Order: sequence, then structure tokens, then C-alpha cells
Amino acid sequence: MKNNKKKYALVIILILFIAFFSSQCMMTRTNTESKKTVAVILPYTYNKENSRILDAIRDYSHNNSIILDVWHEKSLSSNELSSIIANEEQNHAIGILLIYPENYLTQQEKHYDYNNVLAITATMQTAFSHYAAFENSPSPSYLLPVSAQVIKKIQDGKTNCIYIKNTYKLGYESIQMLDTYSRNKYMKDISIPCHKVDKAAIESGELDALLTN
Amino acid sequence: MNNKKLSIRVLFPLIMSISIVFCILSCMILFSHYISTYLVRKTIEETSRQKNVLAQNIENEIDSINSIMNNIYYNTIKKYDIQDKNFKTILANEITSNSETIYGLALYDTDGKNLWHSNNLTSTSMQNESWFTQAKDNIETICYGSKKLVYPDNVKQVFQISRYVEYINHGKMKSGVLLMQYYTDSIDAILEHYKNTQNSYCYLLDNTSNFLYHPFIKEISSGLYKENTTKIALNSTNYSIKKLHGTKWLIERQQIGYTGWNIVLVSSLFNIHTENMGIYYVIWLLLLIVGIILVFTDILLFHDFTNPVYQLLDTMQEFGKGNYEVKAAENGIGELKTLSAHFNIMAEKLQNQMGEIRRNEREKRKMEKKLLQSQINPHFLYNTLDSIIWMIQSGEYKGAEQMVSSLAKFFRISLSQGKDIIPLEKELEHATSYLAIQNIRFKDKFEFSVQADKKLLHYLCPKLSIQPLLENAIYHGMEGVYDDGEITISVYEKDNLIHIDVSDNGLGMPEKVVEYIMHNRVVSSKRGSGIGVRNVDERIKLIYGEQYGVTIESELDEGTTATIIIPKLEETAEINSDESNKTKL
Repeated sequence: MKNNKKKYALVIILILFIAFFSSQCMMTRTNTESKKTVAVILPYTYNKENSRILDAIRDYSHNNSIILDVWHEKSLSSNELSSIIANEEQNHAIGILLIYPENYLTQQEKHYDYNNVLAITATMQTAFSHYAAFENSPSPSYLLPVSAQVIKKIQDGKTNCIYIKNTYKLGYESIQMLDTYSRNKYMKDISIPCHKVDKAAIESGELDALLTN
Repeated sequence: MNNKKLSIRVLFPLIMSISIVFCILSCMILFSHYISTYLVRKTIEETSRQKNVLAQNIENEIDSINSIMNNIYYNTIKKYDIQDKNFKTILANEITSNSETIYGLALYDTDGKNLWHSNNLTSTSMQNESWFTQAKDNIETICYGSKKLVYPDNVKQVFQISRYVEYINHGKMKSGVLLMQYYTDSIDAILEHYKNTQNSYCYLLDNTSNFLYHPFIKEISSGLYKENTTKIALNSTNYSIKKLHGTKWLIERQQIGYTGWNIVLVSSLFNIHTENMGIYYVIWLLLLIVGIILVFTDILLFHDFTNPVYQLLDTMQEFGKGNYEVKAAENGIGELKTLSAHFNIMAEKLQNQMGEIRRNEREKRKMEKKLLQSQINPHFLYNTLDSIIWMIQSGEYKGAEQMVSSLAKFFRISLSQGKDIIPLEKELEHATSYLAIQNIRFKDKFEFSVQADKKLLHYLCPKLSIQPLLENAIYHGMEGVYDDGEITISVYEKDNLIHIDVSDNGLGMPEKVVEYIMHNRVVSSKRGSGIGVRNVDERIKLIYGEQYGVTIESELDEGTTATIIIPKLEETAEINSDESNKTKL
């Protein structure tokens, strides 16, 4: 009987130990979503047209627990690109986003065959396995943000209409595609249509948020 | 049929454990519910507090805007004629000094015709504009209209704020509408202070439910996001909790002053639970541990309680198998200990009783054995045969014949087909046969007579009851008597009992001798039956009960009377079968 009591006592002490350490682990454990990393390679010099793309990337990242690993490149060879990609893959990046690589890649005729790379490009669609670009649009077309003078001309009736390329949507859908790729390993090309802006559209106020600087 | 017995050692801990599990689960559910409710309540309170802060800040900003508007109205428009140079100068200065907040000012008459405007506004008629008609219809209040895109350097947005005014034109007071285009930056800045995330954000609606501010306005404009809470917010009074896309959302709304604007705060309750999952885990784990400990403790305690019961059970089983020496250990507490103690007392009493029964059985068998032995006592036979031979040799043929006849009768009745209880008639016959033989042997030393109530002769009597008393009377009573000895056998009824007196007129015996004879195994003669008076007494008591038996009354020099007292027992079939069974044995 005494042996049984000893056994029970030992078991109870063991359970208490487990309980104590488990609760310690539980208290320090966080239940927030684990962060993912996306590498973004940008042209070195600031471009106003990239601002909306970056806004979109930042907005999406903020809402979806994504950390951005930003590279600013003046020029990049294919080897250097490979090296960056390998580096980022080692750091468990879910994907690499190239923003207008035509502004910094030295070997633009080459084909860059990477499954986890998405390039936002205007001229290098064929160079990458996956790209994000605008559809062909009639002129005049403008990348967001559009200058006040252009809008004023439409408002004043001096210009009938223009076509805007929603760079915010381009950037948003690009990083969204990389996020989706991290979950189901599927990536496809992104093609954003242009949006017609005339006086009525401006006066309706629907595009105010996009047109505002 | 399933005859398996369910042990209480399994059943009770099982029931207790199930109860404990049920209680623990209930506690888990209650705790979870309480914590959920608490977290939701806290979230509602916190969101409400933040909503109040935001609303207050917006109202303060609106007050500030109203102050500017009223200042322009009362200090310039109402004071100066619009034709006056000062009018235009002061207003231009007003715009310049507030260029960061005011985009433009304009004054219109009641027909919408522009009377004055700042540089960046046009003189277009605004009769159909909503802000114009609102201001005209609400004379007392400042109206906050929709947003508008303006193009100072960049593309920006302004609020169109208007009010009914009275202006002076050519010295005459006239009615009109003042328009102020106020940058949205200040209001946006207040709302951006709320840390907007996808799970917790705020937005501002104008009086036509259009977005004045939304943290995801670019996504909404790009078709990447849809706000589903607007209708729910406008339909609720203070707050509501709704399930959208599989998760619960807290939606709080508050109207801003008299602007007709609504500030809406949206929070995901799923996120709150997820972030506080640690609390749930700790409580569940603790409750689980408590439950396990309770189950263990209950099993352990019940085991300790039931151990003495099972030990007692084992002891009882041992006892039942025939091991009467076994004793129960008086362990346990309270009634359990008492149970063991009482069992031991009962076992001891049972043991004693069984011992007594065994002793009685042994005695009975001994007596039966003796009885059997006495039925064919060789010494008596030899002596009697010797006497017969002597009598034949002496030519006393009559005497020899009488002796042989008596002897035959004596042994026939002695054996009685193995019966222990025979009719009184037979016993008397046996006794008289014995007396006849002894009388001849002792050369008529004594006379004997039998006086028996004939009505009692059919009643039963234990075999060899009278003969030992006669033996006593002959060997002790007739001692010192030469030829005038008298032995009398009387059989009579008294108090509904049969009395058999064996009396002699011998020397008698003192009290001590009587006591000695009654309480010791005294055999009168080795040549006799071998059964003493005490044996006769014990046999009678064994057969009939303690109230029957043998008594001896003796008076010195007078004689002795030994009395057998037995009940009136008639021969029945049961007695016959008992007797036949004994014979078989």
C-alpha cells in the first residue's frame, strides 16, 4: 500500500511539474500570426510612379503580417540577382518582387526562370516566368499619381478624357499574388486594365482617393 | 445471464471520476464563456472610449472650423459692404493666414450668383449645388457638404462648408450663402491617429453615407476591398456585434455634433480571442491538472477506504471455507473498524458454539458407543453363564432355566434392534430380567418388586436407564444387607411427567457421595453395564432437555431412591426413522 501511495505521489508531483512548465510556455507564447518575409528590389533612384506601388505593398504588408526586405539597386547582373534570390530563400522569404527591373537589370535579354519571383514591369514581360503589368491602353494614359494640371484640364473641359494606370492596384495585387503563392504554390501573371477618367468620373468622386496626392 | 459482479472499487471511483470530469468540463466551458464575455465587454468599453475620443477630437476640429466661419461672417461679411475695398482685403488676408487649412472662400447671393470669390475659385453659379441649397434651407446652422477635389499644387480634397449669411451691398442688407473650402487634412490626421489595421479600424461617413475618410479608401477605389459594415453601423444605435465572413465583428457608431457625419469603429472579436488564447490555454491546462489530481486523489482515497472492507471480505471468505481461526484486522476508520471488530466477536462466538456442538456430538457418540458396548457386556454374560453352568451342575435346572430365559430376555431388550429409545414396558422387562438374574446370582439376597402404572407403559424411555440404577442399588444399596434387602421399581405419573423410582432399603449414602455419583463418571461395577448414573442423567438431558434427568435421594440407614424423570413421549414414525438411521450408522 505504501508503495502505491508513493507512486501516486510521484505521479501527482510529475503532473504539477508539467503543469507549471506548460503554463510558463503558454504565457510566453504569442498567438499572433507568424510573420512572412517578401524581398522587394527597387531602382536606386526614387521614381514618383513607384510611390503608389510602394504604398500598396506597404498597406498589404501591414495588414497581412509581411515583413519587407527592401533592396535598392543601381545595376544588377543576373548572377547578383541569383545571389540575392538565394540569400532571401535562405532567410525563408516567401517570394521576391522586382519593381521595374528594366531600370537596374543589366542583362535584360536573358530569361529569368524563377518560380518565386514576380516582376512588375512595362517592357520585360517575356524575361520572367511571372510578371505584373498593365494592359495596353489607348492614349493619353498616365501612371498614378496624376498631376493636378492634367486633372484640372479634364475638369475645365480642356481634355476630354485620359486613361489612368492604377499603380496602387498593380502593387497590391503583386504582393497579394506572392502571399497566395506562399500558401498554395501557385502564381500567375497579373494584367491590370486601365481606367478611363473624364469629367463625370472626377465629379462623381469615385476616384478621389486615387487621384489625391 | 451475465452474472458478473461490478466491484464498488471500480464503480465508485468511476462515478466520481465521471462527475469530476463533468465538473471540470463545465468549469472550462463556464470560464471560457466568462473570459470571452469579459474580453468582448472590455473590447466594447475600449472601443467606445476610443470612439468618444475620436468623436471629441473631430468635434473640436469642427468647432474650430465653425469659429473660423463665424469669424469671417461676423467680422467681415456682416461688417463691411461687399463693394468696400476692405471687404476683399480682409477676406484675402483671411485666406492667406489660413492657407494651410482654407483652400478658398466665396460669397453667393440667394440665386447662387457669385458676389465674391478667392483666386482659386470660379464665379460659376452654384444654385444647384447641394451645399448651397442646404445653407439656404438651414439659416441657423453651418452646413457640412461633400468632399471635392481641388488642385492647388497637388490634387487634394476639401470639405465644402457653407452657411446662410447676411451681407451688405450698397448699404443694403441682403441674404446670401458663404462657402468655405476647407482641407480635409486635419480631420484625416485625427482619424489616422487610430491605429488602423485590417482587424481594427475606423471610418467617417457624411450625411449621405459616403466615405469622408476610410483607411482602405485606395483599396476600395481600386475594387480591392469592400466595406460591409456601413449599413449595419447606420442601423445600430450604439454598437452591434455581427458575424461577417465567418467571424464576429464589433461595430460602434457615433454621430458627430450637428454635421450629420458618423464615425464608425470596427473591431474583429476573433482577433481578440486569438491574441488572448494564452489565457484560455492556461486556464484549461490548470483545470485539466486539477481534474487529474482530483481523480487520482479520489481513486487513492477510495482505495484506502475500501481496503479494510476487502480485507474483511477475504477474511469472511476464509472463514466460510472453514478456517475458523482467521481474524479480521481491525483497520480502517469509523464504522469500518467497528465492522471488523464485530465480525471478530461474531466469529469467536460462532467458534465457541461450534466447539460446544462438537463436544456435545463427541459426548453423544461416546455415550452411544458405551450404550452399544453395554448392550453386549461380556462380563455380565460370562458371570451369568457361569451361574447357569453351576446351577445345571448342581441340578438346579429350574433356576438355570429361569436364568437362561431372563438372560435371553435381557439381551434381546438390550439390543432392541439398535434402538436407543424403547417403550417403558420393554425397559421394565429389561430391568426385571436383570433383577431376576442378579437375584439368582446373589442367592435371593434381596427381594424386588415392580409397581408400574399400566397407562404409562406404552410411553418411550431411553434404553438402559433403569438397569444402571438397579446396578447401583444392588452393588451399593444392598451392601451390608444379608437377606432382607428390598428393591422396588415404581413407575407413576406426576405433574404430567413420568417418574421412575428405583428404591432400596440399603444403607443409604451421604450427600457428598450422591453429589459424587451425579457429577462424576462413576460406574457401580466393572461387571455391570459400564454406564454410570451420571451417564443416564446426561443421556436423558441430551434426549429430552435439561429439565429432565436423574435425581437421587438418600437417607443413611434408610435407603436410597433414584428417580428418573422423563416426559410422556409416545412412539411416532419420526422417532422410528431416527432410530433406524442410528441403527444403520
